[in-house]
Amino acid sequence: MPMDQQLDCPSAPHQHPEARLLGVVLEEEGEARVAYLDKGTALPDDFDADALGIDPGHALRFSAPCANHGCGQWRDGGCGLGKAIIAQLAPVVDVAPSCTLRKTCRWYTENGTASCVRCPQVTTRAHPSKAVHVPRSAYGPHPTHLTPSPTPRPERGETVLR
Amino acid sequence: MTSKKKAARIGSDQLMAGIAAASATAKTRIQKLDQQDIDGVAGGIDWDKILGTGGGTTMGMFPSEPIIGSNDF
Ligand code: SF4
Repeated sequence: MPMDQQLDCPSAPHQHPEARLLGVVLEEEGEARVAYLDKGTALPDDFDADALGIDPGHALRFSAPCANHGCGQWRDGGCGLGKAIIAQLAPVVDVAPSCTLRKTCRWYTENGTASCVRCPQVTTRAHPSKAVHVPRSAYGPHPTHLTPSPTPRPERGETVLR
Repeated sequence: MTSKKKAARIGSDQLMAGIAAASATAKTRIQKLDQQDIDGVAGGIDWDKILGTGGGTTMGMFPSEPIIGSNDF
């Protein structure tokens, strides 16, 4: 794979302008499990995720072009979230799902099928008890014009400019 | 011989029904959760386009403690 290939995030917010549906979060024995879209399956053009009546991040998984170091999950030159999922979650399937993203998936590209066998349990929005914690890194993105918010939990959408 | 556990698939013919089911089951799950404290597991975020904030990074979006890697949006 060329080093400069644009990879995709497999857990992108549905609001992303280039978001594409990757899977639907069904349940198995009370646990959220992603059912991956068959090739060629796509949402109708007029689909409105905001009309579901719930945060779409609980019910749907979207992919979108990886923002690389522009993403807050970026750590040490790669996706900290992908690494954290491997460190903190157990596999839930025995074989990698035949998902439509594999060729360009950021997690698979960095970690191989260790990501894929854990992927079906990942919901883009999750309760704190199920949250994946991406540790701090001394080598994370350090933009000079933005710093982490000094508030413990900034208001939604709030970016703290310095 | 034991069969290997595989992830489910969903095709065009089941997609809208699947989404309806996913929304309904998610609502039930969410009802059990603390609505005040839901965290995200998302990446690849272009906050500039979504929020029109300007800047070009998501770093300032994180709570400083204790969950550094969880976006709250
Ligand atoms: S199953 Fe593997 S390749 Fe597909 S989205 Fe998940 S981590 Fe990426």
